[in-house]
Amino acid sequence: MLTTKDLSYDKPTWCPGCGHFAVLNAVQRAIIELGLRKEETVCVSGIGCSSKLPEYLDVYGFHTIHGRSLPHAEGVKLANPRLNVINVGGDGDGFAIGCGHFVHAARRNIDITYVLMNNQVYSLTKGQTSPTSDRGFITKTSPEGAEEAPVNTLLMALTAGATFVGCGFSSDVTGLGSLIAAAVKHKGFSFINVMSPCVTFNKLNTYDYYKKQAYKLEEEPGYDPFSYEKALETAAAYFERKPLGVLFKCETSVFKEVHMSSHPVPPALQDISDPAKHMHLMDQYLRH
Amino acid sequence: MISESINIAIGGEAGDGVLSAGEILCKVFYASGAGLCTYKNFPSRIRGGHTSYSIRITDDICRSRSCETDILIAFDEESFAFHNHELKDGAIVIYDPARVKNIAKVSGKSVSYFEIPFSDISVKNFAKPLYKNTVMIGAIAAILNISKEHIEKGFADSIKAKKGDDVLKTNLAACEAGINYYRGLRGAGHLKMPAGKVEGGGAIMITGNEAVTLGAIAGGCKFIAAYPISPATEIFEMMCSLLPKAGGTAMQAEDEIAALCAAIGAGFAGARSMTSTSGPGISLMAEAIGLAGCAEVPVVIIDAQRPGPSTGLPTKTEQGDLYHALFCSHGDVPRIVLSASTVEECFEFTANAFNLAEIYQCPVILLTEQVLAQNKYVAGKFDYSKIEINRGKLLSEAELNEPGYKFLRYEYCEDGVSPRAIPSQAGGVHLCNGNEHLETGRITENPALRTKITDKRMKKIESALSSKYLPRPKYYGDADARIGVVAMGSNVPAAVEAVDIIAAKTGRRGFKIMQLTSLMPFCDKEASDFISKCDKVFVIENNHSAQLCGLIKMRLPVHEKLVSVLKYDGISFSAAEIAEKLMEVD
Repeated sequence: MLTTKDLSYDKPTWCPGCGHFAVLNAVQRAIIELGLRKEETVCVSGIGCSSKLPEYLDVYGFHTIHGRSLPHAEGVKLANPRLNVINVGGDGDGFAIGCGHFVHAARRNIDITYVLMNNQVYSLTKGQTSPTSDRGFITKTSPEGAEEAPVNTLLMALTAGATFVGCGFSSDVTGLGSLIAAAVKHKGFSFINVMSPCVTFNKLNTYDYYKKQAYKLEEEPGYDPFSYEKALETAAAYFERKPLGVLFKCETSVFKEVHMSSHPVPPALQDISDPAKHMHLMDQYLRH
Repeated sequence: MISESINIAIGGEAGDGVLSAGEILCKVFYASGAGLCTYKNFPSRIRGGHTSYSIRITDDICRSRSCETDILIAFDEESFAFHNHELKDGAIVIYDPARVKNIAKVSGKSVSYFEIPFSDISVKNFAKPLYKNTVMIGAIAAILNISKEHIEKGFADSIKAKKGDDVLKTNLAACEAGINYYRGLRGAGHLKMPAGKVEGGGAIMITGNEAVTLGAIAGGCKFIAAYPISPATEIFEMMCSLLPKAGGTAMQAEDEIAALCAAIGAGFAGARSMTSTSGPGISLMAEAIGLAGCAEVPVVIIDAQRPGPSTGLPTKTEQGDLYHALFCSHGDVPRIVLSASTVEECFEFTANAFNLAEIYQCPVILLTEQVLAQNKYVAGKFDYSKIEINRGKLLSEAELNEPGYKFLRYEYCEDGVSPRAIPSQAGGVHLCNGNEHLETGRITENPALRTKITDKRMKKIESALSSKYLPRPKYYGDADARIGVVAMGSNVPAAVEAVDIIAAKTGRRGFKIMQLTSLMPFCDKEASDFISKCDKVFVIENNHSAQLCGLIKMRLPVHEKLVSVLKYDGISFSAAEIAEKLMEVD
């Protein structure tokens, strides 16, 4: 069995106390809990402090460009559906520059997992306002306080058609590990919003701030994650109360079943040595 | 060589059915064993606006449009404005009086004008005007004395499978009505149909976009992500229907950025992967092209060029993306850029683009153009035996796990090409990285190592110059000539024919032609040899800024010999236009 040490690579360069350490650890725990093989796991990221996670994780990784990790992750999964694809990144990466891709990844419902490390601030560029920053949040680019309404990532995921939506917290690495494991296990697009505090550039949304607002969904009497209406209501209240656990899940057809060939071998692993193998397709096509 | 050529132009409004009638006519001519190429001129909208479909029929294989018209069919008055200047001596013009009230006749040429009420004939015989185009096809068949056998075959190939026997029968009757009406006209003349020399059994009729798609499938492509855009859309449409049958997957992306990123993801995962687009799409893909270069991921990008900048002319043709393909994206990006000039090259270069992408682990951009992408050409059947698959330094799991071997994804190698592993392979676990990285793939900012890995990446493109999968320059014309012509893409066949036209008209020879097929890496040696043996070299291209000429000047100190011949009106060069330019400037 793998250990977190087996799954570690280099020493992270995050600031001491950064929430992202716990996310890295939780991803490793999920891989271990599910018994995934290193070579069959791919971690894809964009750009930002959180997107450096694959640098420190010893599985196949792809550190791509800012905001575009999801389409890369979708391509990886479609090329080889046997792979477990975990996409990670921050709130600027995923909900500013990459917001369009998020909506389409959710509605496309390819079987990948997206772990958003949401610290409500731009950190790698040293402290600017983010699309998830609270109103009034003062930064170098919002000296009078952020004016724009923050993106409610959970609500957006639900309305865009994500088939698994969860919320976690860096203070609860055990809970987060299980949540990521459940998301990876889910067949379809799974999304987890992780409250992962930036201790250097966000003095508002701190560990204590989140702790005060957080509550566990499993302790809510009668909470039913299969209820879309209940999930919408829970997500809508996110700015006042932060739910921890699975908000929503449902089973529906995933992209691969609809659009992919019925070939038993994944596209990436097929033998392509014979160029004339599909020559009949030319004849068929030209007849029409 | 072409010795007989007839050009037909059919003009009408978008929605008149001009394009679908043109397609049926193509099948009729194709059935006769003639050479053929089409030239569609249509607006970027679904209804309204002048549309024309020109078909050039030749005795031998033909590759470029004609700018002279023998038969003009006018469904509207605008047809005269668009085509009068093309009419040849002896041309036949037919118009439908339903919509054509004023005929703008040409002067100084002997042109015969005939009125045929296509719509009325259709209504009288079939109770609706739907068959007016088929009646029109009959008139053309009568002018050219096309055999019944070829007419029936052409119609059956176009209609039978899709619409059934009854529709076929009605169409054949409408065609017959057209033939009879034309034959009954007083003074109705005939033109000689070129006697087809093209091998009927083996020949195919195909567009550049279709040829690219078949090349991709032959080249082992298993993944495409794309976003619809003129004039590249048909590649993606055809891939969506064919690729699942060939074991692959197609994904319609939300934009071109996502399209290329998904293709890069699939390439990293080990599938031969591609996207198809046009200039505006390449603009959006610029950053990801750099990622594929830095992270060394194989991916093939087809750019069916249209005139820019911005939205430009979506349904017209140009060669204005050359600089864009060569230089887009920040930093030093290793890449390969190819240009295809015929449907055969579309097939062959696409298949080889996948070899080059995997061998050199970089993005490969294949440039085509709207004129080549969306027009039909009769060609010899594609030769699959010429295609081979080479996956470069992609290691097997056994190789990765050989005792004592330590896999380094970005290992510094003499040829700049490092060994490659794909997810699912044990022993190959690594980080693929768009951040500057070490041989392992992990991030670094070490100045010495940054220099070293940049050198390694850029070295690959130099190495690609000696690859057997990289298309070489091609030469035509008189090898000892002192006047040279350099061209790429669709201008090449037009230039080749232009030289024949000059010889036939003036008896003058002494032109040699060099076709550039790989723009990056650039064949310095061949180009230098060619140009150094010329006194003057015409560089023919479809853009304003003389990009091909600029590229040559960037590579070679031959500035004073080069003369640019440019066209950027959205319409491709015809052979006659090039011939005129060569004689005029000389």
